[in-house]
Amino acid sequence: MTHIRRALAGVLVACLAGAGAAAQSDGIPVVTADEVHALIAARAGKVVVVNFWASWCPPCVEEFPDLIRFHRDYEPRGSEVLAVSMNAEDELDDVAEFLDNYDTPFTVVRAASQELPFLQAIDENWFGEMPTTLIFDAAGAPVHMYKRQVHYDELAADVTPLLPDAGP
Amino acid sequence: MTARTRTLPLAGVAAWLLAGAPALAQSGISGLDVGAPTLSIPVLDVTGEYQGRPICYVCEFQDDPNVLGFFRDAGEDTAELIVRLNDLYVEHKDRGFKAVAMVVAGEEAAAWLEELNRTEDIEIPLTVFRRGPRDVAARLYELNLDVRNTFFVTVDRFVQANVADIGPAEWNRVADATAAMLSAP
Repeated sequence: MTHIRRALAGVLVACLAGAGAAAQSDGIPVVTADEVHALIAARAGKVVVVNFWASWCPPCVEEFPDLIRFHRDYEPRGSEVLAVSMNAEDELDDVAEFLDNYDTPFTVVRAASQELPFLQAIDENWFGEMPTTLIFDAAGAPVHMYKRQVHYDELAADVTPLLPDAGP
Repeated sequence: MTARTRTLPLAGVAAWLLAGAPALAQSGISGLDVGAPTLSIPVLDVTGEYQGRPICYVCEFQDDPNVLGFFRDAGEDTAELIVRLNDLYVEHKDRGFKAVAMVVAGEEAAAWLEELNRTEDIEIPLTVFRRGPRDVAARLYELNLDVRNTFFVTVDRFVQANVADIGPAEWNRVADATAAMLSAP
């Protein structure tokens, strides 16, 4: 069963990576925790900023423009944002309405579960606080975790030393 | 495994449930333990800044000290406790303290909350569970729906104190726990 799930995760990752993956407000892919990790692994060589958000989370809504600006500025330098919506299935209209406000330049997926096993499979120190942002270095190791609203300057300060072109 | 040996553990579980479940219901115990993290839950905002929309006030408060008040249903005691919770907020809001009232019964309580807000000039957001008692929030916060209310005194998104099933005469338990939290270094 596990190898089938991994294969399916691989297909999902390939689809998202191959599409260049600007987010669509409809038909947002639904991902398990394993698939989130697979999406991070598929971006090996890049510093990946994974943001967990929901349309009903005010600080998430407030920080979203900072994430877009960060991605636009740092994607050419080797960093990428991956946004994971924690909205439930019956909130898809809210997600669509929210994303329609933005020309989102990064991949957006939706978590398959909002429950503790999903959260803990993402990071054992995550209990569902939102927003939560994790920063993974180019080797895919978690380096920073914010369990609150994060700002552009904080992301820039954390990510810059991790970039492939960063000096010693 | 024979049919007989399979039924023995099930009978034990049934007996435990029969004996234990009513005891828990009558115990006045409800909600997350002290030290537990507060989970992100959307509720329907009835009178707050996000009126008419699903919103997560737990998220909005972030690390700020706060009291999350869950009320089983509308009623006289609930009204008085919401007024006390609002007074607590007014007393401490200059210190970054926040509070929210969430009625588990759901949208059937919305009109009642609007009226309470009007007559008592409530400043804290009054909200309801979107799916009533079946809302996932009840399960995530481990609310015992047999008790009247559950208050979580929280800071940095962790429960500092849990006070459950109180009447207005016992409000000092919430007020004292809040004062202790706010005076901690």
